[in-house]
Amino acid sequence: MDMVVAFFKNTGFGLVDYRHFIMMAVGIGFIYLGIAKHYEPLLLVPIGFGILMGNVPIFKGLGLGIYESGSVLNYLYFGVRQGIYPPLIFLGIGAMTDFSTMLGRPKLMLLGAAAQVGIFVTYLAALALGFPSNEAASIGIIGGADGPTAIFLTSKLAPELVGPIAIAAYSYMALVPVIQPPIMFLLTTKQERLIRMSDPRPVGKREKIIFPIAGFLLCCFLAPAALPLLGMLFFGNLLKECLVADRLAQTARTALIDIVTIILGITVGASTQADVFLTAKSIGIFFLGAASFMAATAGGILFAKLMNVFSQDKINPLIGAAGVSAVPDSARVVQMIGNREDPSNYLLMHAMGPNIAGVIGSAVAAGVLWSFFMAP
Amino acid sequence: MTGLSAIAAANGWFITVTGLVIVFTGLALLAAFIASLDKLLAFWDRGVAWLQRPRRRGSSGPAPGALAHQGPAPLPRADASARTVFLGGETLEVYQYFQWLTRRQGDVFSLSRLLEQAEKRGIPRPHFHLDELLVLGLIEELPGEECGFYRWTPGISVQPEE
Amino acid sequence: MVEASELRQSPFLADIPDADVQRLAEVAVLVHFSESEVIFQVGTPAKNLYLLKSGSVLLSFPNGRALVIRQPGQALGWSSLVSPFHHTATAVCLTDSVLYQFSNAELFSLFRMDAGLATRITAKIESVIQERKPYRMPRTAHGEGESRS
Repeated sequence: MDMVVAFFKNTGFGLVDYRHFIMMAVGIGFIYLGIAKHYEPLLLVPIGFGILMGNVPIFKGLGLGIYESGSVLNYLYFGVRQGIYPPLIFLGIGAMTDFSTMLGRPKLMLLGAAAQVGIFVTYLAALALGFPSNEAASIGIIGGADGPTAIFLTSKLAPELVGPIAIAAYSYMALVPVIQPPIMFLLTTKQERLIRMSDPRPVGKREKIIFPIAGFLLCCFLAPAALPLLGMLFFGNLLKECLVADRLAQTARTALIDIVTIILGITVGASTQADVFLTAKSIGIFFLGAASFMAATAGGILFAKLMNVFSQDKINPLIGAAGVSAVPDSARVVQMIGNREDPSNYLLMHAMGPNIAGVIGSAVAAGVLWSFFMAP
Repeated sequence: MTGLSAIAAANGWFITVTGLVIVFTGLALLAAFIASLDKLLAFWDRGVAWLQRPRRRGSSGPAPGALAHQGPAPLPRADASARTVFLGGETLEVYQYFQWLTRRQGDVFSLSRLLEQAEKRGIPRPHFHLDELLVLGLIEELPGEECGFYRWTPGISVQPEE
Repeated sequence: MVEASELRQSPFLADIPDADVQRLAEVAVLVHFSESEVIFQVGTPAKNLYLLKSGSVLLSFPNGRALVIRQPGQALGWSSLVSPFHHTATAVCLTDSVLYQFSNAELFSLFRMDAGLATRITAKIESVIQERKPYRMPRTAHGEGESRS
């Protein structure tokens, strides 16, 4: 009888408390959003299931939990802890993205830069709220609207916050169509939303090949800490554009990115446990993350309006909102809002320019922040 | 520590300004480089051409948005000079039903309403027969502002097949 | 996936480069609908773009207007690519029909990979939208159409 009782005490039923149930509800909620509502299913389904895996009550010491050395999940989590998976995802992103809309109208890159103001504004707000510098920087990077970048920087600066920050980042990326439109309407006039942009100049093959090499060198000379992310991003793009390594590009943008996304999602989810997630700090992270997104959106739009003051070739300021690097969702939101005003105004490809620049900008910002807080 | 003093203590202002300057500088330099890249490449091509006198090489890729307006071809119509159309069996029956149903809508009718009413009344294969009548030219679309509305083509009579 | 040579025969893609047609063929799915089957309903989320391969389809708009699509290559479901992203008409098959179906998720991935392809396809979609604009206008008394803002 004692053995039965002891056995029962070591099962999940014996070890569970209310916090596990809350986390499981969060995990199930994510799965529901991914499957039923189609909100970023490729991310929310693995993360949601990972939360379930990470919050099944287990007896510590058996080498099962994600934080226990030698467990399967722990081995898989190594890639998150050491910042390996995000650069591999960037490799896939570079291999699946055509940069020519950005190359055809280079000034749109400044909108990608302007949107990163959200990162730094939130960093300041987090400092003001009492977060230590490293955590404030990790929270600020949520405004870059780039999950891999957020995970990469947080794994370096505040690894214990990877779970809540990743979930905040991916949640807000999924909510881009909800968060951005009100800000876009608030900061633009109807006349501005109706601006039709001229077609970008045609971009030659040589430019598309030279750009990833030159871009990588320029950005990494300026912010060397961004090398893992930007190196992979530009490398992936070079594989795509050079046309002689199409098999590698194809693998990078299909099998490789899918494998890494699966493992990243499940391990990030599993690392999100009640003792870290159900805290006042997490609530602060979620609020600041939302503010970060909004500030980034506003930054891009306002900078576009500023550029129009000095430029004869007008930019539709809506595309400034695409400077957040939620590719391609924020570009599609711009397309949707622009279409509402004028169904024949197709802004998607114009918005892809700042969208891609935002990926580069957020990676540079992450590199800058990491370099400030790197241990000597 | 919270508030502005926390920011100052952590060198927050310096980090923010420096960070933004670096991000902007990086992307601005990249933009400037890209903006001048096509000119640099053109200059390079001129130099190579001067050295080698090869065929001129263009540096432009395909022009985006090459438009070829693809309008739909007009609907195939039955020969307009045919004044009599012969219908057999079920088609004739459905034709007569349709005539009766469209009378309620007037000379000009909506196809979707016609189909809806035909289905309600259990008329067999209304979609197929409607398509048949359109192909035969018995029903024609109105032009101009009435586009999308239809009428029975005037001047065509229907006879049963022998 | 369909054969590129088969998709190339679609008049909608007549002036699209072979490389683009090849990419589109990789994401295209051949779907069969029976007579009287509804392909999509007005107001439902637009998830796919269709090109007619064979058969005939009636596009009915809420204002009572209707358009018969019977020429191979004609496009339906362009709302999957542009606002309002839900269908603005109901498509019902008048005869057994075969269509090429392109999911908007796959198309957006292609567009992301190739801006030139995106520009060419959206230019074609835009011309389809303009052609069908008169069909979306409400009908007023005496047939005087009012243009929507």
